[in-house]
Amino acid sequence: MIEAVDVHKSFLSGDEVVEALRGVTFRVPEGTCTFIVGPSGSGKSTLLYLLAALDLPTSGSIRVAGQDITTIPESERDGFRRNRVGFVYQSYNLINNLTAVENVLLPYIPTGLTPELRSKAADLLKEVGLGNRLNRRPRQMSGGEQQRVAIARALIKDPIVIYADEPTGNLDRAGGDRIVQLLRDRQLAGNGTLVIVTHDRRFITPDDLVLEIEDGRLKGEPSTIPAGHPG
Amino acid sequence: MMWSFAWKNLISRPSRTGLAILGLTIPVLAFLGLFSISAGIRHLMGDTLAGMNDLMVLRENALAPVFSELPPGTGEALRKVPGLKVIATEVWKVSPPIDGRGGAALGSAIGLLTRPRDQGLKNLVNMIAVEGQDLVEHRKLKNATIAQSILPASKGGGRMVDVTDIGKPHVAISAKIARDYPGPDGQPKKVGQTIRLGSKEFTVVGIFSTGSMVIDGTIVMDIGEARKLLGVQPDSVSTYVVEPTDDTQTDEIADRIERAVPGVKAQRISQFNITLGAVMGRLDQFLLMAVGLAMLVGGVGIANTMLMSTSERFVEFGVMRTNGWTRRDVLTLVTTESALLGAISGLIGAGVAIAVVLVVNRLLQGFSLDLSPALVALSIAGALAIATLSGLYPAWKASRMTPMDAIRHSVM
Repeated sequence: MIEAVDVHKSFLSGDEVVEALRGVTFRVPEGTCTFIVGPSGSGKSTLLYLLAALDLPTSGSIRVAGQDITTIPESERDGFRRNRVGFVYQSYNLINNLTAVENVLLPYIPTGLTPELRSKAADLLKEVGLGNRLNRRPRQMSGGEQQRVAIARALIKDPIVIYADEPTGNLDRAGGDRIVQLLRDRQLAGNGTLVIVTHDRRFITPDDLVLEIEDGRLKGEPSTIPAGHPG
Repeated sequence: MMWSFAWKNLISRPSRTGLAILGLTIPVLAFLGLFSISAGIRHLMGDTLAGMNDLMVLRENALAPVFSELPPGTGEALRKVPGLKVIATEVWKVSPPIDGRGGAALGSAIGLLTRPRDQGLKNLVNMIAVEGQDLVEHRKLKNATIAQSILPASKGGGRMVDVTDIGKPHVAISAKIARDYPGPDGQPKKVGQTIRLGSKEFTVVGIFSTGSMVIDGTIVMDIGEARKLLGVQPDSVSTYVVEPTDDTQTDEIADRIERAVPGVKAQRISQFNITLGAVMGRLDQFLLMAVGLAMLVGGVGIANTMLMSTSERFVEFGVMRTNGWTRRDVLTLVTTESALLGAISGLIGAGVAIAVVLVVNRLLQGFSLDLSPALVALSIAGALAIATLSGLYPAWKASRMTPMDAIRHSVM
């Protein structure tokens, strides 16, 4: 359901052209949990941003649920990000002036909030264990709680894919475990797809798909790594 | 929710928001204050003069009777103009010191320009003119505003000066003058008491109240007495009040007078408000320029505030874009914030202005500041428009943020 074909991405760093991705091709089936791993600077986060339509590749194509997200106009990419995919940052990136429930509703603030959406946001926060934190501001919550709000914000769209960029990077070990488990339980239960960039291979299970990136290329051929890869 | 979100963003930085609001509130307050004074003067003059239907003949280019001095022979020339029923001579001058109190009589214009604002305003309200009337002819006029405004006997009104007062130091004064220049007992002057103009004592025979600052700033007496008091020539004339035989011919008569008598203008007394309107119009233009500049500065303050605010929130805008907000949505949010600043500034400015006008109008007598709902609405709309326009550039800049900006800034 996610298909990347010969994806290149380069950008300028000072006067130097950096080739972050050098022709990446792979396919991620629907309903899987995929980990993108690799050393720092290998291009794994860049790949994630391209898959989430946050950035455009220099060349190549990316199709998500049959839609080529590299050729659609900006307005459609906005709609794609609002309605079809969720994104979880390493640093949570909640809006400080909004409460937990308002942060969850962030995607729909411009289009208008219905009672159903408000109720759904509250239910999601309860599901992630923050039923008693609905009206707390981010600064009143711990890092783990903030990340759970961020996950609820991604989930409110019922996304076909959730992309998570180092979601446990700012958490302790136990907190990180709970976050990854939460993402797995909530996203995969509805046959959604989960793509996580991580340094920490302990989260990978035998059923997961692993894309190992090194120096802008997928390590090993074929570009998809079979389930059960030791990581 | 967009409004609520914008509001939360503003109150999260209370000091900065407060200063930006203050920066625009002050010009709004200045706008309403200055224009309520201007409108008050215009309204007052219009009300006073609109009730007078006779023609006044005065020197060409003279803004008001106290500035008019007609050349000898004007009366003779007027009497040859057909269609005039009454021709009543008048002498007008700013009053000499009253009861030994000088200063107020020096004239409002000088006072307004050279004294502190409160003192200048006081002078405006307190300006007093001496009007010497040809009492024989004035008795024949149908529209004699002062004669019709003598207080009732129960309030000690006395009578209007009349032919029995010719050659006598008798005056009719307004209730305001009676109050401002009280008798020896400290109570407002009464009929029968004296009032000293310059070095001469006059007996008060009547007290009137027209409710108009302009007319209630007048001391009326026999024209001969006025000429002696004011030290002008025995044949000096400031104005003539003329009453046409046929009221419907007033405009034609005015044209006829101006053709027949060079160097004078004849206009309905009610039309003085048009002349005044031209003067006030120029004053309004000046005020508008001054307040416009202040508004501009306020707008720059809003733009600066919004620029700082948006540059601190690049990550937030990027997060919004990641979550499907369009550039237009971000533009709307930031513009809403600046519009809110404008609306709040306008409302606070208008609220304070209304309160000040209410208080000042309770304190001032004979003159009131005129703060119309239209003026209030205009000031709020102006503040809203300026703030919204000022927020457009920061809003446009914020809308250029991409999802990747959020990531780059949050990583840094």
